[in-house]
Amino acid sequence: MKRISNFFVWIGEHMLFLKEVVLVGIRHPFERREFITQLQQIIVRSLPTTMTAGFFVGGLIVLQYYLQVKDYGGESVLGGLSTSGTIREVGPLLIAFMLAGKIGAFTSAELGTMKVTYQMECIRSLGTHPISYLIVPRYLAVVIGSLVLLCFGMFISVFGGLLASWVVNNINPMQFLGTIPRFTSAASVGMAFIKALFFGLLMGQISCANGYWTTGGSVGVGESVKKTAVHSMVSITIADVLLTFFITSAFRWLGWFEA
Amino acid sequence: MMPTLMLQMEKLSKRFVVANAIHIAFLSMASILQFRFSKKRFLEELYNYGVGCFGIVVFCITFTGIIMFTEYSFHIKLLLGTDSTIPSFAMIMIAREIAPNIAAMLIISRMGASSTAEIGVMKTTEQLDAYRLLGIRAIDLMVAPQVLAASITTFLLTLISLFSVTVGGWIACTWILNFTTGTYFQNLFLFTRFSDIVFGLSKSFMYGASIPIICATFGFRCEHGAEGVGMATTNAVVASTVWIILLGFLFTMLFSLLQ
Repeated sequence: MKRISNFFVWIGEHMLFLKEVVLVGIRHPFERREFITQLQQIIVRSLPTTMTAGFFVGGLIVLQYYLQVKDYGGESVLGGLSTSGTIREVGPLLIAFMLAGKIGAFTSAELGTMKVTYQMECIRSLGTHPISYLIVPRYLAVVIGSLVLLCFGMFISVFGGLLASWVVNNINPMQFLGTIPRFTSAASVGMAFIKALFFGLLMGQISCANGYWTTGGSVGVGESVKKTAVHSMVSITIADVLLTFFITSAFRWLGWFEA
Repeated sequence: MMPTLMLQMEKLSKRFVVANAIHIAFLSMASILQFRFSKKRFLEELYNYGVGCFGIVVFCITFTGIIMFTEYSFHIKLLLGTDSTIPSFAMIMIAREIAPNIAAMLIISRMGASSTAEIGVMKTTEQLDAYRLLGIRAIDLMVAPQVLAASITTFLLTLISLFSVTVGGWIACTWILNFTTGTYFQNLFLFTRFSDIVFGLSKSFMYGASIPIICATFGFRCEHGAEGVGMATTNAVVASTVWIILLGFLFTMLFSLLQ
């Protein structure tokens, strides 16, 4: 019983944090320079790893799909099938897990260090709101940065799948590319974008809130980094289930998915 | 011959990260085979890895499994026009790729980061030098027990989560996809071979063994105090995630070439 009520308290705390961030973001001037610095840091730091991860995730899924569909004569449509599978489900999830470990941990460690060394109080005493100066630009940068990185990763995963099936399974790359439009509809790509946006929102919320709430010295910073990684991975998984279910039913109702 | 080789290895490992990781892997392998790792630490790490990661790993893999079932229904309907065989398709995919990869990623962010931080703090506060002065091998105490514990727990957690995926898939198939319980269990092992399960489990064993080695390498290499520890932690998480995806790709490629 205690744990269940703690869970609701936890959600409420996050909602209050979100409300404060939104209110401060509206009322105070937007720190454009800080935002651009953060965005550039996040994207430039994580781009190579995201590219590598996306490339090999695409290759892995293609090889696995090939083993499964070759008995049904599915080699001819392997490109479409595996691209659709990677973009709709596996790609966003695995890349988001990687980004949660990297961006989330980095952001909450940075904010937590600032909190425990009283830099936030220092900023407040200099006449600037710490949420307006530190949290709002970071929050937006994490959301937009992870959206951009996820899209890059998914784009690269198509290329990785193409190369893997060409080299290992000896499938013509033009045929691989040609079957993609048959299976991967615009609605699937849109679903991937919506998922990426929600994963980015979750990462931004959880990493900023945990960083802002850090207490108790350098041990506390380590605790909040660990908490960020675990919370964001669990919430990404739950969000993935709910989003897949709701978006699929909504798109089916709108008639964008044929099946 | 052997001492000069070890000397060369140490020289190389001061300069290159990869050589350092290989060196630590060899040392911990020797420590395990000669049975001189710390047994008390091994039991502690077994508890930390097993109990600490149990909830999150089983939860995340089960929910991802549920989405895999619904997603496979979408794709196989496009290919074959019917989704009556999807429990088996999805189960192969989960057992061979999804479960080991997700388990490894969760264990990295839950335990790997903190083990890097622990070793890094010991390095920067010169506790490792004190161990060397006392004639205790740091590998026996810090790395080898973790390697053994992590490989055993990753293996077992993947196995347990496969059972819970079976239940999760049953719920997904009977609620969302209109299967009956009988058709679900009948189709679950239609194509799933014993070799698929063994392949996935051996993969997760390898992942589990490589996580502490990479994390310890970054811990042993970290410098410049607290900031260096933070940096080493982030680098360790990223490097081990990329390594996991790369290793998974290589394993799958090897297996699909063999088949």
